[in-house]
Amino acid sequence: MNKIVLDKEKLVVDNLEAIIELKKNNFTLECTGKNKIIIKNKEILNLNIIMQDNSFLDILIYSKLKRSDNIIHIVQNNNTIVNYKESFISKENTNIKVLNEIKGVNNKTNIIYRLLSRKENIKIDVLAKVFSNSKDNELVEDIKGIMDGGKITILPNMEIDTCYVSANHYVTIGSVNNDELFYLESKGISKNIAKEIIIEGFLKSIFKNDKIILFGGEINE
Amino acid sequence: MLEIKNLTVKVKEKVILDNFSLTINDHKIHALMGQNGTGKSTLCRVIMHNDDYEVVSGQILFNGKDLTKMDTTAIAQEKIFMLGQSPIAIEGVTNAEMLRTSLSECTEEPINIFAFNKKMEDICQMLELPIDFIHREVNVGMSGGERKKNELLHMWMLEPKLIMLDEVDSGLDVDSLKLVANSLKKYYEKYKPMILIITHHNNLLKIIKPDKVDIIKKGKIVATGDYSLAKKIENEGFKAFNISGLGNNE
Repeated sequence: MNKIVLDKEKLVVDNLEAIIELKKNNFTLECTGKNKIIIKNKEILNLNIIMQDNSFLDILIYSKLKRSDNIIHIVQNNNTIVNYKESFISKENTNIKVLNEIKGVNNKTNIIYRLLSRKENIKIDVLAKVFSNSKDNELVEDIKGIMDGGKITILPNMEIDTCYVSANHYVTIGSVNNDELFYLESKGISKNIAKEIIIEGFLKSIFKNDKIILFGGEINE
Repeated sequence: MLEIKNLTVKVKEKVILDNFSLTINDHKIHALMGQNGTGKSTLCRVIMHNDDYEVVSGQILFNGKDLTKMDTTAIAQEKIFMLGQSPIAIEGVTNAEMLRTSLSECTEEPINIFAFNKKMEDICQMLELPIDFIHREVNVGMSGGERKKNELLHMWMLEPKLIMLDEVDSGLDVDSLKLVANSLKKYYEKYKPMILIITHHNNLLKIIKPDKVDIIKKGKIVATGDYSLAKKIENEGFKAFNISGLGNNE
């Protein structure tokens, strides 16, 4: 997979598979063709994704220490697929707003987040808007958080202005599972290490089919 | 040697084990039989110091160390291994990652990755598991039979001295039961551990013959004998010992 260091605010991609290290905090990604983009360990990111008709995008973001406010805006028109997956551990209080606008026909969207809050607060507000005159669209919001001392607020919103859509959201907030913890301890792993293994596994689990390896907070092919 | 002396255990004010005593000598296989809800599974979890259970009185001595005063990790590092009836799945954590961490914590030495991988491959082959099980997430997406075999993979890697099998035969088809039992038998012949087999019936005991069989009811041992006791239960049921009726403590 190509590795690109980018000091621009906009990139037009067409059939690109790449790990992109961004220098700017505001970034627009315009997609045609089939693309797989890994955003490398970006702490602050306001991201605009514009999907041209008949385009496909897998976008993966893994941040060990995310901070501050983030806005993600995804626009889809016709025959597009977006799989947006992001995992992070918060470093400071973090607010994330995701706006997914679906305006045409035959689009699919998966917005998947895995979050860990230690002592910080995380608030994530996901809004999917499906416009009138659109049809045959499918969208899923799948957001799970582990609270390990901090607080997580998840607001999964949907504004659906058409009958021809399948829209679902799944939200879970909890702490580290005690049964999992006991299981790993019963294999001889100390509590603190077991907890970190479970958390790391939780954050990585959404990338398991993407043939990537995560090393110490960074994401690589 | 494992010595459980006058152990009384409660959960939320309810007595689960009542002045319970049991001894397993080195290299011996011990079966604990009983109906549902008699406290059998509780025993394993109490030995592993699960915080859900309160030890009111008594001792659990393993080679002279009182396990009731140790945490779960330290108990496991004494080479005590529990194979439960429904091993849980952990997303995102692979067998290799978990076992490497466990072994390196136990030995406090870095793991020789080449030797580790070779051993994992050999064990997978023996258990008729695909090699990719090494890097599969712990029990994720596995059938009941695969989970039991996966736990055996962990057992062979961790080389325990005391193995507790909590209804390991439940949910296994005939072939899987044979494979699991034969793997346990092979392990026993190689390492001569103590084994505690907790079960409702005789299926596993036909292949791994216990030296001693105890029958438990409502948290107390009510009958003791050799393997013939297990055979008698298979033929006549628990009624033969005037201990019929569901327990309600498990």
